[in-house]
Amino acid sequence: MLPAHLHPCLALQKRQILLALNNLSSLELNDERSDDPPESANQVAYQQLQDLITGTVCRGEGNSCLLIGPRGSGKTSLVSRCVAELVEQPIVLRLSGWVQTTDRLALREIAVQLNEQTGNVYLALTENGQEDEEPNPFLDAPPTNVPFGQPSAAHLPTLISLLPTLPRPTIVILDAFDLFSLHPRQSLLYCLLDTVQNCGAGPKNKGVAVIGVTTRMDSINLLEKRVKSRFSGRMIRTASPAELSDWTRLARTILCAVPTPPADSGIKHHLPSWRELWHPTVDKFCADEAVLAMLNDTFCITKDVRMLSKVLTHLVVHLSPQVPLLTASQLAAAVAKQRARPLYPFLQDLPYPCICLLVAAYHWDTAGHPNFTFEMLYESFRHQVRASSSAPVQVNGGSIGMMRCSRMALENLISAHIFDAIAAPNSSIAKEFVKYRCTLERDDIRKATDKCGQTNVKKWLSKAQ
Amino acid sequence: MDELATLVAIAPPPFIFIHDPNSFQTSANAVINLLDSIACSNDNTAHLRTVAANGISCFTPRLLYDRIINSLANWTVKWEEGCSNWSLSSDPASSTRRWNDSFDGFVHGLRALHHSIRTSPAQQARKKGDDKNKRKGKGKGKQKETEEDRAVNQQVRFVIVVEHAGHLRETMPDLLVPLTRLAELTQLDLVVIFLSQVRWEDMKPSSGASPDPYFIDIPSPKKEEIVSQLEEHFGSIMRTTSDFPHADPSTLPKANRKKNAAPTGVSGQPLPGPYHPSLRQLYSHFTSILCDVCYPFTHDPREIQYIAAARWPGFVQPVLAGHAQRIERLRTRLAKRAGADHETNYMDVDEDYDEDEDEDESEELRPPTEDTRLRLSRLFKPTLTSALEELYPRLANAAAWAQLNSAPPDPDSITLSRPTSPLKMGAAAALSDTNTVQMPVTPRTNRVLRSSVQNTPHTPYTPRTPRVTSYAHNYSGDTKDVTTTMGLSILPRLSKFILIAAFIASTNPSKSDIRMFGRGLDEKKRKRRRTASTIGSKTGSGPSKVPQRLLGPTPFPLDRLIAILGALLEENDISEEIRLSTDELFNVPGEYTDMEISRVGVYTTIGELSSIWLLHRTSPPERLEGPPMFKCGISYDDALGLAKELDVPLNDLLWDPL
Repeated sequence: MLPAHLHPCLALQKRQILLALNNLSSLELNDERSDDPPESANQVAYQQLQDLITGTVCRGEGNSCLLIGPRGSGKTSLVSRCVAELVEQPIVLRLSGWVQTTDRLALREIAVQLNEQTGNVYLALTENGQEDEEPNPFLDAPPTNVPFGQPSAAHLPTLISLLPTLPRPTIVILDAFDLFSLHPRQSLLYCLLDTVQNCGAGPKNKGVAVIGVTTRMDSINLLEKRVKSRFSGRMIRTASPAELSDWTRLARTILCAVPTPPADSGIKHHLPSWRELWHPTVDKFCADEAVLAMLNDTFCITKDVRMLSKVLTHLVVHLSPQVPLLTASQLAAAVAKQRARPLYPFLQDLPYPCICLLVAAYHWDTAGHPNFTFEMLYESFRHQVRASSSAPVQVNGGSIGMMRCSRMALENLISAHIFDAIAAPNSSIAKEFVKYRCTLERDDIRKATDKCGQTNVKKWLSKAQ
Repeated sequence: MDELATLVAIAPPPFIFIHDPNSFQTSANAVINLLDSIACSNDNTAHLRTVAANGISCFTPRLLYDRIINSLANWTVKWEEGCSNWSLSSDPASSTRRWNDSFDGFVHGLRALHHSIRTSPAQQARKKGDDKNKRKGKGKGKQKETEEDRAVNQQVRFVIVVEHAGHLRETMPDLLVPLTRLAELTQLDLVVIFLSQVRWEDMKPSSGASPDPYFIDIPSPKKEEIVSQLEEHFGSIMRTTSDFPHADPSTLPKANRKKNAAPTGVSGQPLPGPYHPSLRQLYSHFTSILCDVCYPFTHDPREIQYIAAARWPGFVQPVLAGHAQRIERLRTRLAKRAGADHETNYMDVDEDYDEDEDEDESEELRPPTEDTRLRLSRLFKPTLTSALEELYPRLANAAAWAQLNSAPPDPDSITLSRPTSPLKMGAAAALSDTNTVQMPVTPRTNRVLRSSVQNTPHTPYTPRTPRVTSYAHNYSGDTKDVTTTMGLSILPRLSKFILIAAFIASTNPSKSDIRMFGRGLDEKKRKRRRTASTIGSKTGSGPSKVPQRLLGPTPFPLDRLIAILGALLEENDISEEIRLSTDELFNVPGEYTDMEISRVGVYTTIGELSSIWLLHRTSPPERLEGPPMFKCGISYDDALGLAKELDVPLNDLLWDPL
């Protein structure tokens, strides 16, 4: 379909779009700046955050704030952008509530990162401290499962209060801030915020900023009183694009990303003709009613830009010289795959015994027994075979009377989490009497049997009505 | 697959989830091979380092960290060096650091590795190339070196594949979120690919803590794909066996190996094995038939391949046997001719021998004709089904099954390969092998062929039904355990009675005992009550009752077991003369049985049965109050068999019979 000389152009375009999709945040920025409609939430947030950070870095202030916004609204990228744009690089400590699940882990991580960025060894200090501590038999029983080299909690205030005395200003970024507040006594947060509050703008001391990043709107209510009183209370909100037009604009810019050809290749000559071909299709694609409707659907479900990026990635990756142009049907496929995923996409591909077991489960459900054992399913299958007095499956003339692989089929279903065991596995219950529950809806089973195309099975299912 | 290739090569999203419920292992291997091939190609935006960690074998976080970091660094753990993991060798201070103590350590390890790969001077790259060279023993050192040099100037991208990712949820649930956010945490160019049989919805952590992945679903393979895959496999086996005949014995089941290794052809070469090139066409037909049979039952290519490997040698056995006979005849004929040419010296005989062989090429195994193929497939179709039934649930292993079901070298089986007239056969051979076109039909060969046609009657070859093994005989459903059925028949008589009593006690509700076994009342009353109760239960509202037999055994106290056992023994075991002879001793009817069941032997037998797990003791042995509780451990079919053996009308004694 596509002339052969344009194939490399398509490949280039694909590559460029994918690259653009991968760093969405920078692109978003350009887009918004160029148009400058009423300032978006992220724009405001960026301004505030930058003010705050420059305050810390240049004037040595102690600052603390919370960055709140839904998932995928660009919180993390906002912070890293602000930090990256600074003239003088501060010390950046990144902690994540997902990884540093205890204060001790966090403390050690702080020490390691300080070590990396300043060159001074802080870990040694804490490790020595621990060695001193260990022989003391009168301490409370130390936690047994603490890995080697974790500093004790006693060093927390020491290390944290060190922060303002460092040669450069420090920025502490706490990802998943709400998880830190779940630590016992919130001692890390207390120490950090206390240090920030007491951080006098002296000539010796440099500034410290604590930036909490979270999606939880009530994060501030999670803080204890003594911690909350030390927190500045500044909250900066980010938001995803508020209107559909933002999305479409974004999609358009991404799709029209300008490929940069490698210098030595002969592709350059073809590029203008490619552009003539490509840009109208993008225009057409973006103006298509069906496309807009689908984007609108997606937008109404989630405003997360990452979803858009996933959908577009799927769309672009599937472009090929045979199908070089964007169409609405492709977008529909992408949306079905990435956004509105069917719960059990593989259901109609299940082998025949599995479907039989599902139908048997359906029958038992109709009879008022949502929980069943394997023996029950097998019994009803046997009954059905006897009742219909015909072999249940006809394969190219040859018939298979009884299915004997059904135990394997059951195990397949269990491993696919379609059948869930109700009770915990117990050695006193034989395998065939373990009770299961079917996680599928009745409608799903009906669709699956319709698609599998075995008339006998379909008849059997319809008996349950 | 193409999708993944493009993505990884250009700009992957940080987290990809590949879901494949049906043919997991195949696609996992495909993904890993694909990634390796991408890593070797030059058409990437970054230098790729890939690693595949297995969620099953990496069952602790440390194992996972070590596995990922070591193989990203192309580092092999050596026993001599104290199994040390990869570390920054240039820096002694940091070499003492361990990357595997926590997730922080892991993240730092990744960063350090990234840094070292990017900034490593050429010498380090060279060293790595040398390392690889040593390890693999291939002469690719130069190429690797240049690649490494090139890598230094480029970006480095890590690709971390986690197979069986569903298992991570059980072994290390805390790690799931950080792993999915790994790119964000390490701030590196990094892709995490989860490969799983389980849906993402089933393993995703709560509260949306990890970002949604980019989904790739792998559809289940079509029948045609499986067939083509099997044929490819045939090709690979063919190559290995032709290079080194019988070097790879695992591919051939035992029975066949023996047969093929022993006899040799005229020229002293081994006879062609089942994976001979000229059988390829037959094999493709065979696979399509096999897939027709198996495809509704399983979509996993590996399973079908397993069955194919077990069945194929037996399938071609008649063809090979026919070929062997032909060779045999050829040899005797040559011997005769050698006898006739007695005057000439032996050298001449040898030459003649070779010449003759070149001339009519009877050493070559000819591809079987269309008719043979049809006959073969008709013969073996029933055995394909039985192969599926036994091999798919792994009731037998492939080698043993193939040995049992291989068609023996039957003299009748030669008829298979001789359905055509000699002329036709020659034509068929000429069609398939261009070399034989030049071959004139010499009177000699004609004679041989004709004579063989004459002396072989065209009896239809009846397929041998697969030999029934001892366990397969009893085997009526796959729910039954092979060992229990084997063991039951050798139990003493009393144990069998105890088992039947236990089965009754486990399946009947305890309230029904008096009706089932009650004596002193007339039979009519018992019957009437029972029918009335069943009718009542049917008219009552609520869901219908499920037979207890299907729900599994219920626990019962020892006393009840003993009581039922007594009733059983009284009705079925005690013979008339005992009853008569003991009448003087025991005046009360049933007193003899009473004595029987209170013997120590009964209790020891019960203990014995529960120790071999035919009765399950449900109450802990240290509990003293109350009678010990038991549960029946045998299935309905077993109990029915036992009852038949002992002449007990089991179905009459069950509350809800079949």
